[in-house]
Amino acid sequence: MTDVVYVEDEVRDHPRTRQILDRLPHADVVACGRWGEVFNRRNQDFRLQKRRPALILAAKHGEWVLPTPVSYGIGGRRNVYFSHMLNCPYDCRYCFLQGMFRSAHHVVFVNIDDLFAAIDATLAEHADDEVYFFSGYDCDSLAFDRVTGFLDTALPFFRDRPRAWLEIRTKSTQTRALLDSEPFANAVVAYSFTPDATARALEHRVPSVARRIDALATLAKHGWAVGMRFDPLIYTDDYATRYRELFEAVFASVPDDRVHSVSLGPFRLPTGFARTVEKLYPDEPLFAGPLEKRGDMVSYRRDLEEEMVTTVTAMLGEYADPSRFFPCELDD
Amino acid sequence: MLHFVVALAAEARPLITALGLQRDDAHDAFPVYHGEDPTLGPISLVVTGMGAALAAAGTAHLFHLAGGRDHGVWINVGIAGHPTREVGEAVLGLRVLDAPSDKVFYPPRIGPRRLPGEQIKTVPKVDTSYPEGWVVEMEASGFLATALRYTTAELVQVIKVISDNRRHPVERLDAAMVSELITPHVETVKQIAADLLPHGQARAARHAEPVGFADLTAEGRWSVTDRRALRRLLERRAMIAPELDLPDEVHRLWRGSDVNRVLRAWLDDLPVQLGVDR
Repeated sequence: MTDVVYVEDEVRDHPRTRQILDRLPHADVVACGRWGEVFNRRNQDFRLQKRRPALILAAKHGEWVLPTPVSYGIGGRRNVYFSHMLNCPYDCRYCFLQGMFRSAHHVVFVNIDDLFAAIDATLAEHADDEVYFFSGYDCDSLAFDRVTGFLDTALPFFRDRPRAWLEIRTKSTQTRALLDSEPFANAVVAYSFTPDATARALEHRVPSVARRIDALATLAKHGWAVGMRFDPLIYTDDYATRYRELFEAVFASVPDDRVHSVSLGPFRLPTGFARTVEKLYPDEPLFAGPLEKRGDMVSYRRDLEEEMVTTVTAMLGEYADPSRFFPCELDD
Repeated sequence: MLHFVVALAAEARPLITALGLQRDDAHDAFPVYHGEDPTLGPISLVVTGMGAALAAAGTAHLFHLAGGRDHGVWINVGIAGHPTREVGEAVLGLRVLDAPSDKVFYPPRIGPRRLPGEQIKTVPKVDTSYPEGWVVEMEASGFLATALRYTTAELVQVIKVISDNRRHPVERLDAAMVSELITPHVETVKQIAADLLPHGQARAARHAEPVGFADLTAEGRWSVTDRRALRRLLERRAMIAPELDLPDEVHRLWRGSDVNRVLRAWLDDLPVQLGVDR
């Protein structure tokens, strides 16, 4: 699918650049100065680019490891995220990336030795504590791995650092890198789900819920600790029935002792992102729903959000061990 | 709408012939041609003359003749040099460097790969040095700098046919040869245009006024904010209840903010359908 690759001059001769280009022998390769020259230009149409995004190979400068939002956690005290990649091959209509970025091109940072140095520095800062590293914040951790080969390097790195927890958050069923690797204790492979009918309406080019459940079960059977992320919660008139069906299917597929964590989160977008996305998709029923602006966020109407979170949380209590369940906080 | 910008009459001729375009004699700043293709719809073409400045001016001229912003597709077609590519090969510009200013453009390719992608250098005068790795020509950057003001980058493309290389330098070209170089690629140019035109139309639809907007705002007091909010509410209505009439009350209200309040409450009470066939 990737048939145009922009390569920053700085990383033209980087070994990872060569590896990635070798995996894309039919792509047109174009030089660029800085990745932002391509990615951050004005007058781009994210929706159109999403049809056939290019790949940009670049070097990341500045901070690699950043604190997560306060409510973003699965049991640890120190929660940070990193982005070895920006954007994702999937096209989920609720995704904040489409409001945050001007371009749908995939940016892959090839200087991941710098990332690993930054992770070590973070661990050194918190020498007596575990640190949770979330890798699927600005991208899907797994979906592009066949091209980037990121996990082939990242898994051994984290395996050797037991205080560094790695969350691989994904909707991808491309699990080869994980199945070819021995599981280790400080990694969680977390799948994101919305109910099947909701997913079919909102998650485009994404493996079906059934296939994701299969992948989750296979990984759990292989020995990986797995997570379930019901985030964002999407409202429909029959949401309770939809989530009940989803939980039945998901929790039946994985033995309890393989479940590391279960979390949920309400649908929220920063107001500016929401405006951008609405303009991109004025024909999208998601944004015709009962949303409101609260503070600097757009979310479901407070009464609906509270009702939905309360209902779904109670329901999850029937399936998930309370010690592994991390419900969202409804703070404003 | 599809717009072609070409520098030379000899480059334009194969497109004019294949698309059945007619000269527009009402304007003499630049030669302009119009036509209607059964597949591609309305088409306009301008012959700008050589150089980035004329390409920019000709592009602007065509835009204003077309009546302003239309989410159209803009394609620059022309000949160019390359050190090693064979004479007669066509390429699509994926990076265009304006050599005098070092300004760079990256026209995104969102359609199928119908032509190999290349990097293009726009130079101010004929350059026979054939720099390694570059397609060299004289118009693309001027065209892009202007066309990108009118539509989104994905709908603006540059197609060049190699007319000369180190083995066949530029001095040997004449007008007939230029037309002969372009002619075999007209079908590909049409395919690329056909790939993009539906996206232009979709963008136009996205920006179109929703049903009911003109009626409701024809009377009463409407601030800019109220109009913006009404637009969004009517878009919501078009998604979740296109078959329902608006509540009668909205036609009796004078203030836009009151109309919006009633509409919002009405919409909030309608069921949300996601993933269910309506």
